[in-house]
Amino acid sequence: MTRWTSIAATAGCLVGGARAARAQLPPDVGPPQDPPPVTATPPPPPTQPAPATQPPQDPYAPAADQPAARPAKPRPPDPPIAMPELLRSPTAWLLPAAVMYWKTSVDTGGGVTTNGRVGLGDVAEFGVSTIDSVRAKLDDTRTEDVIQPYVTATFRMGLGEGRLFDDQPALALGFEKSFQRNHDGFATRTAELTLVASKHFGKHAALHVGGSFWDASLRGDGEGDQTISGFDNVTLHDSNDLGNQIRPFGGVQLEPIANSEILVDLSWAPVFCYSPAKGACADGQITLQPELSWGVRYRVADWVNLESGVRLPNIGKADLLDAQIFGTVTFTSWGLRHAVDGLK
Amino acid sequence: MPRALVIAVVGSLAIARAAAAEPAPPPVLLDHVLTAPTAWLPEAGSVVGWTGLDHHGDGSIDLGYGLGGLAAVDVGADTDVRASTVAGGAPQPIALGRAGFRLGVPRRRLGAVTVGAVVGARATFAGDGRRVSDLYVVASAWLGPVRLHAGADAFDGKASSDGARLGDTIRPSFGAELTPPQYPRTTLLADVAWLPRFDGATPVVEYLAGGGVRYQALAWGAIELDVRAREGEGLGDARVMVRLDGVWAR
Repeated sequence: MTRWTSIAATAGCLVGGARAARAQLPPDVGPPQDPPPVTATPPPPPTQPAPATQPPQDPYAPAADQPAARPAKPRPPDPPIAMPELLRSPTAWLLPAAVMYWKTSVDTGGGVTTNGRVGLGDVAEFGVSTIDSVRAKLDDTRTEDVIQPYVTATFRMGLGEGRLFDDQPALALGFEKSFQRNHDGFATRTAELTLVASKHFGKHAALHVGGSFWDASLRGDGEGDQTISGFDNVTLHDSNDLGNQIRPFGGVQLEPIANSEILVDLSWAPVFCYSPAKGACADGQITLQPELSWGVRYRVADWVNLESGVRLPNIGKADLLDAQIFGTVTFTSWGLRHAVDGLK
Repeated sequence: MPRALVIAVVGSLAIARAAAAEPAPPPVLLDHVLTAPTAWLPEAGSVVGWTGLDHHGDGSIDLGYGLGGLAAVDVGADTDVRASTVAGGAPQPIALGRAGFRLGVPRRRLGAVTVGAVVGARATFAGDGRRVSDLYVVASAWLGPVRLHAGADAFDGKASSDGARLGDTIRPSFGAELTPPQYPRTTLLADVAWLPRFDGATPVVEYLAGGGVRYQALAWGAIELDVRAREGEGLGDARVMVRLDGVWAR
């Protein structure tokens, strides 16, 4: 018993002593600091002592009622981008300035395409793409082969919707020109001038209507191993018939469910028939054939869209075996735009 | 070793009992019964996959993705189509890559019935010149324990790149699924569909009928035991297959 009593007394002494010692310390004493350094010359006495009623103030310091640093203004969210293409055909919607666009597609016909674009000053856009729509055949008895990759460059300029007057559709004038492509000993080139109008009808529907002026050339002499003697150069404009070169195109865009759009479009693509023999290419050596595509665009996130659908490369033939299932992923980025804005 | 076995068996029984005690999850809705298409579209952003193997070792696999609740795209490979090297020879299943796109009306309730309708297209690839494409329309109705599917399928095929075409051919397709209320995880399947067969270089048409049982072991997955018989085959030539199905919501 005495042992426990002595332990309790000792503990009480220790606690009481510690409390007493703590009571003697000044409150909130920080760690010990080094003494001020000894300088050779003492600081000069103040020439104008501050009045006792006002403390000294830094004239360059911000006013007491203003915050020291203004917080960065939050950037408004990027608006949704109206896509410059339906499934195959162009729309009149141009990419906003410095917005980048990248689209890659594969299909069951073995086609792989890519398309990169950038918006220029809200009134134009430039792009480079590889397409798989250009086809070639030796003669009418053979199946058509896709010429790919077929590299093209695109420049488009235009007006946004409602810029000039209410209900004015968006308008875009575009030019797409291919680089020369050598295939099976033949050299081909294509060029397409397009004028398209796009108009929203309500929030969930849009219509695109346009016309294209085509030209293409086919050269078989001296381009490769399969040179055909007497094969003259052929161009689409040789016939001097504008009807062979002008084609309508367009499509419909519906959004029955948020972020999901149904797209249907009609487009055109050149077909080269290589054989110069009379009657081997009944429709001529360069023809334009209509393509019908339908599908769905699903906006997974603000910066990525998935598209899939069906394409009939020649709706005139109604050939089911030619039908292609395609899948596309499209990325858009405002990063360059924000970087440019940051420099201003 | 025996102790480990006993522990494994007891553990499995406990898990099975726990699974059985849980309420049955909603059924896995696929884009096909066995061969015939259905009008069920996957939810936006969800992934649907299935794979199978028959007793001859011929397999199939498919992976689909729901596009915005309006459509779906899928890519896979199967051995549904048969070909013989010479005309009149014994046809054998051939492996074809296949991609499909479906666009339709999401399923919705109309009174006591849930209905859906879809327009779809499928095209083959990687078939060494053999090609089969089809365009179909199908409608589905879900009434109580029964789900019925009826459609029309226009298809074409050719045995080689320069071979003769079958020509556009239209055939119906039918399918039925029954989930007995007493066994909410079990579904009985039956269907019939038509598709091309390559008799040498000549494409012809044959039917493919099947039946089976799908057991939904997991909320997201099911296992099937199926039997399929083709036109002109005896009962002994029917193929027994096992399939695994899965649906992963976004």
